[in-house]
Parts: sequence; structure tokens; C-alpha cells
Amino acid sequence: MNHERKKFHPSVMFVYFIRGIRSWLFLIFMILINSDGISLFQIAAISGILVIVILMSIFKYFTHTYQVTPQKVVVYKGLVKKRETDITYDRIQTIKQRQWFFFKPFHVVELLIETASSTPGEAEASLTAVDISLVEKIEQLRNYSRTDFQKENAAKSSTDTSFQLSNTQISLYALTDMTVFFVLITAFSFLMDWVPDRLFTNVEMWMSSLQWMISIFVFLIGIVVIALLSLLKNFVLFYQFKVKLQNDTLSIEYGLLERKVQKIPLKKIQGVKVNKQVLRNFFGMSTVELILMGGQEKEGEGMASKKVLLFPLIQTKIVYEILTDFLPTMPITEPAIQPVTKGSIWYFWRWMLLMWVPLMIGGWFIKEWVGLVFLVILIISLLYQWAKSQKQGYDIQKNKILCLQQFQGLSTVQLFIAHQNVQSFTRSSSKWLMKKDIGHIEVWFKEGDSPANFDLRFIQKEDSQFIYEHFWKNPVVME
Amino acid sequence: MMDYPLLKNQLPESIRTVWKKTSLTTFIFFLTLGIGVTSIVIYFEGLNPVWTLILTIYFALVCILYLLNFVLIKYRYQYFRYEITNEELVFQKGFIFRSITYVPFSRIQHIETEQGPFLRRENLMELVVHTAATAHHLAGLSIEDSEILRQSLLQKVEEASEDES
Repeated sequence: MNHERKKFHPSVMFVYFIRGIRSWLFLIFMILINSDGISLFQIAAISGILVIVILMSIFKYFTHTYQVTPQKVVVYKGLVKKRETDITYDRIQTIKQRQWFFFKPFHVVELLIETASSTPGEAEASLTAVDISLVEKIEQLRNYSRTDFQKENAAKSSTDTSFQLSNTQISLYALTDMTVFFVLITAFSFLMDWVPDRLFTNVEMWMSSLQWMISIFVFLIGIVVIALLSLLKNFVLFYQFKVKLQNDTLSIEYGLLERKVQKIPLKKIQGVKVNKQVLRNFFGMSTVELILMGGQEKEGEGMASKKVLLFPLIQTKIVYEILTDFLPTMPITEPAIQPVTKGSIWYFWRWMLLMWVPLMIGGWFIKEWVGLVFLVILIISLLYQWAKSQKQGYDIQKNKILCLQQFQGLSTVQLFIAHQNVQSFTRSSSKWLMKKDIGHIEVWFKEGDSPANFDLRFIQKEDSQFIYEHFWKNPVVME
Repeated sequence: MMDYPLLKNQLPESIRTVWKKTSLTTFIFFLTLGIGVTSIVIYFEGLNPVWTLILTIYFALVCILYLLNFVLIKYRYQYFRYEITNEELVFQKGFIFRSITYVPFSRIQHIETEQGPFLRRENLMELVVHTAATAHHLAGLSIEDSEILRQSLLQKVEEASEDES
């Protein structure tokens, strides 16, 4: 094997160029926006930027190099201020692979190598444009560096477990995607700033002559636009979404314009979240998300969510069964959720009432409609808190897995976490709550490169004691 | 109060002096900041009723928070405790808002010691125990104690990780 320092594939210059332009985008925008016509100054300024970006891209092509040896991967950067990143194989958490469409003809991919400790938001090493065969090579070297115990395990679980997202499922996912509404609201408010007022006056006059017929029509068009946007977004993102379990590594592959492959060793999985969003639950569907430890890079993710989805959409009735196949090291069974918030709705409501009732009364005295707006907010928050209190629950499973259930956003979320992945466990209460035997429990774990927690609020002491004793103190041993 | 379980170990008494000093320093800092802002406001536009209200609230809050903090030091000391069991390190804090946190030895990533000027004067040291997700502070152990605790923790961490692997 050749262990020399190598340059990346020349097409990397194009990537550097695009990234360079992106970081100058704000300035380019400012230059273009601040005058009526195009002046010589603007042309000169933009050409200047282009020349700088092109020169930087060429410079980077010549100075950024890498080396793959049997012990480690080394990435070299810089000429004056030299930086060298060494990553040994056993420290690698995940390897992500991305392929832009213009990489395809050259059989080139970008490899992002991540370890556990990290600078937030950045992959520890990025091999920006390397031959596709290098993926195999690194994977082999990484397997070779693993201990015998893991190899044994790997051999056992090497079945061809796989999952694929059908186009119908992508469509259903897209049509029940509620985040699109937020995108649309942002886009709309942005548009409002740019469209001249005159247009609105015209539209208003036109509307009042045709009245409600038009309003309904516009509303329907709006919905269709949202749906189409959502479909477009989700097809670009999840096109041919595939998950495979090979040896003890999960490999997730997806994307239309930019094909991504993410390889996750099973032992790096901290926990699993099963999300049952209201709309999707209606169709009997759930979403499964993985909680990983390690620096999750954010660069170039664009529309993609930062979450690692194992199954963007899957039938709720088979989800627990299929999870066991995919995560043999963390056998999850269907939880028998123990509800915990009996008759303590008051605790969920009290702060809401304390905050919004005075505001509502105060608002009413200023303007009646202000009071009404606060009343609506109050009712929505009370309903939301009610849902929260109703959905809270837990289950302790064999093999030391704790399942905690909460209502978040518009979803019922179940967190499954094994004892060894909980970093710390907290029981808390207050002087007054304690008298009523009410308290909270909280588990802390690591998600990506930051701490995360999940809690059950205002639960009875007997429940928190049960969780403490059966999960934390004396974990249930698998039969 | 009787049935509220308290952990075994308390910090040395002298930590209260450190807390008092820290509290006073913070108070002086925010007071100076307030005075600074007031002078700037008076210099540039004069005190109108809105500014007077804002600044009064600010100074009142700073004083009340300082007084509360100062008065509660006694309680904080009483209820700030820790314990080392066979498998884990346990932290307790708060009397009104109470919490007990359990950290198994095998999750401890590293242990840090810190010593600011106030702690140094009292010959105390702060021990910070890091897990992959959280950091737990034991403010103010005597230098010898913190060294002993650090050593014994390190040993237990090692034993625990040997057991797990």
C-alpha cells in the first residue's frame, strides 16, 4: 500500500470555490443591492471577490493533503500556519460520506470522519474529494483495529437487515411535515418587506370586489404551494433512503442531488427516540431517531435536519420489532407505558395561569382584542400542558433499558436509553412539593457534541423511587 | 425537615467565607455597572421618568438578590453535600429547590481542580467532575482533601472501567 501524502481530486477546487462564494455571499449581496444600475465599481468588486476565491481554491488544492496509514488518517492543512490532524482508527465515531452530483463522473466522494471529543459543528477530519475506493480501505483498516470481542459480535450479526423508504412514504412524510409551515411563514414575512405597498392596495381592491370566493381560492392555492414545497424538499432529502445493518455498523444512505452515506457503529448509539407526531400517528406511522455521541458536522447540511433519522417513517405496529433487528445490542420491546401524572394537572397549569391570567386582564383594559389574544394563548397553553401531563410515562425494560415518554411540540416522544449511556441521574423536588411526595427525575446523556436531558415532571415519589431502584440502582438483569 | 435525607459529607466551614466574598464581589460589580450606566444616562440625556424607573428597578433587584444570596449562604452550606458510595458519586444541593444527582464512577471522563484567589486565601480547592454530558462542581475542599478525593476517585474510575470492559 502506498502511504504517501496525497492531494485531493482536482474537482475539489470546485467545492472550495462554491464554499468560498458562499462565505462571501453576504458582501456580494450588499454590493448588488445598494444601487439602481450596475456600475463599474460593482463589476470590479465582484470580479475582485471572484479572483480571490479562485486563487484561494487553487491554493487550498495544493496545500491541503492527506495520508492514510495502517495506524491512522492524517489531514494536513496550511502552508504558513501548518495544521495536522491525526485520527487513529479506534477513535473514529462515525464516517459520513457525501457525493455532490458533479463528483459522480469522477467516482469521487467527500468523507467526514468524526470522533467523540470535538469542536462543535465541525467534523474532525474532512477528506473533501477522494476516490470512492478509499471508503472501503478505511473501513477495512478500522475493522482491523477493533478487538477480537467486537469482531466476534460482528460476525454474529452479519445478516442482511435492511430498510427502504418508498416514494409513497416520502410523500406521506412530506405532506405531514409541519416544519414547512414555519419555512413558509418566514418566506412570506421576508416577501412582505420587499413587495411594494401599492401591490397590496391593488390586491385588496381586487379582493373586495370578488370577496370570499377569491379568499378561499387563494387559501387553497397556498395549501397546494406548501404541499408542493414540502414534497420537493423531502424528495431532495430522502430520495432512495436506505438503511442497512452490516457487521455491527449501520449504514444510512439518502439524497437526490447530494448522495449521503453515514456509517454508524452500533456501540456509538446512545439511545433511540420514537416520535409519534399527531398527524403521522393518525396514519399509524412513527419516526425513529438515533441519538449519537460525537461531533455532528453541520456544514453544507442545508435543508437537512441535524437529526439522524433511522426510519423517517415507519408503521407504528412494526416499529419495535424492526428496531430489535436493527439494534441487536440494544434490544427494545414495545413499552407498556406507566402513566405518572395522576391528578397533578394543577402543577402543569399553575405557571401558565400565573403568567397569562394577569396579562389577559391587563390586556382587556388596554384593548379588548389584546385581552382576547391573550385568552387564546392561555387556552392553547393550557391544552398543551394538559397533553404534556397526559402523555408522561415510563417503562423499565429488560436488559437495563429505560423508556421515558413525553409530549414535545406536537409529538409523543419515547426515549429509549440503556443504563450505561446515562451519564448522570438526578432526582429533584422542592420543599413544598416534597411534602406532597411529588418530584422530578432527569437523565442526562450525550447527544452529538452537547449534553442532553430528558425528564419526567411532577411525578409521585413512589414512581421516582421505583425508577431509581429498578433502573438506576439495581438494574433489571436480562433473563 | 427531619425526614429529608442528607448526604454524609459537608464542605469545610471556610467555604462560607469564600461564598460571602464572591457574593460581595458580584454585588459590587453589578452596583458599579449600574452607577456607570446611570452616569452615562445623566451625561447624555438626563434622567427622564422611564430611565428613573428602569434604574430604580435595577438597583432594587441587585440589592434584593445580593441580600437573598447572602442570607441563604447558611442554608446553601447546610444542604450542599456529597457522598461517595461503592459505585457512584452523589451530589446534593438546595433546601427550597432540592436535588440529588448520581454519577457512576464509570461515566467520569476527567477530573479538574480549580482555585481562584478567594479559594486560595482559605487554602481550598474546587473539584470539577466531568462526564461526557455534564460537569459537577464541588466548590471548596481543603487542598489535602481534594487531592485525596481526586486520587480515590481516579482509582475508582479505573476499577469501574476495568469491570465494564
